[in-house]
Amino acid sequence: MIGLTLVVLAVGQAGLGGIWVVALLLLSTLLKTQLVADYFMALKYSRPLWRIIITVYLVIIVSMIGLAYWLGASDIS
Amino acid sequence: MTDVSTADDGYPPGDFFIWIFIYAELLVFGIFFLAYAFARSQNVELFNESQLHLNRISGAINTLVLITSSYFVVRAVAAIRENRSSLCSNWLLAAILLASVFIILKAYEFYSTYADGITLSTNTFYMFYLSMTFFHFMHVILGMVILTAVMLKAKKGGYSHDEYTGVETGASYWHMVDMVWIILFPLVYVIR
Repeated sequence: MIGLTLVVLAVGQAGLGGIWVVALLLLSTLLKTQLVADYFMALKYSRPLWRIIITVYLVIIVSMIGLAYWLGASDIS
Repeated sequence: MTDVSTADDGYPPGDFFIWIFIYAELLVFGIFFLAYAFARSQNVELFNESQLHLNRISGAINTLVLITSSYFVVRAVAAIRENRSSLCSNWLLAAILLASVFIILKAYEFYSTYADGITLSTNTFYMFYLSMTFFHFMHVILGMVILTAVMLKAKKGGYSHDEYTGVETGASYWHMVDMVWIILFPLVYVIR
């Protein structure tokens, strides 16, 4: 998670943008948050429903953010 | 990666109602995130230009601080499961100290923004940036209060390996605060 955070910072400092960069950043965010849910919150060891709620939430939020950025990029071009 | 605990009854760690609260909080933050993302899609240039003025390094340090703090809380839960109250309170103290670093850095960011004459009404980007980060800031403070209460009780031997629901409840809330920031940082500070 620390490594992924440093990658995110490096991308930000380099001023990189574009839909593929956004997709990469959102995937890393999805991975980090799922790791927090699985291992820090220990949802991996709970009934599947508790973990599924968080996973569905994260996938929806990250996908919708991606959609919004794609819409913004489409408007510019 | 160190895991916290296995819930024997299938429920997640901590009090049942903290999970209802956590899911409700995540829903509220989710609405904020989507409102920000779709507002940005209507005004990309303004958001990209305003975002350049944020302190990304401070945001990244705060991410590392919260992740590490969350890990310390994981260790605190592991310690109380082994009936080591003193170690548990020490891990919680370390987590609270790191949370203080977050508060100091974020408060400085707010101060710098205010000193630059930027307010909620400056533009749509800053309206979202200030309200979302301040809302999260208040959650960090609440999390610190909860962790402090748990730490003090642990220090007095108020928890044991048979009864440590309070530690897990505080821990779960703290991990939620960490999770929200992990989304907030790239969304507001980096993605453009």
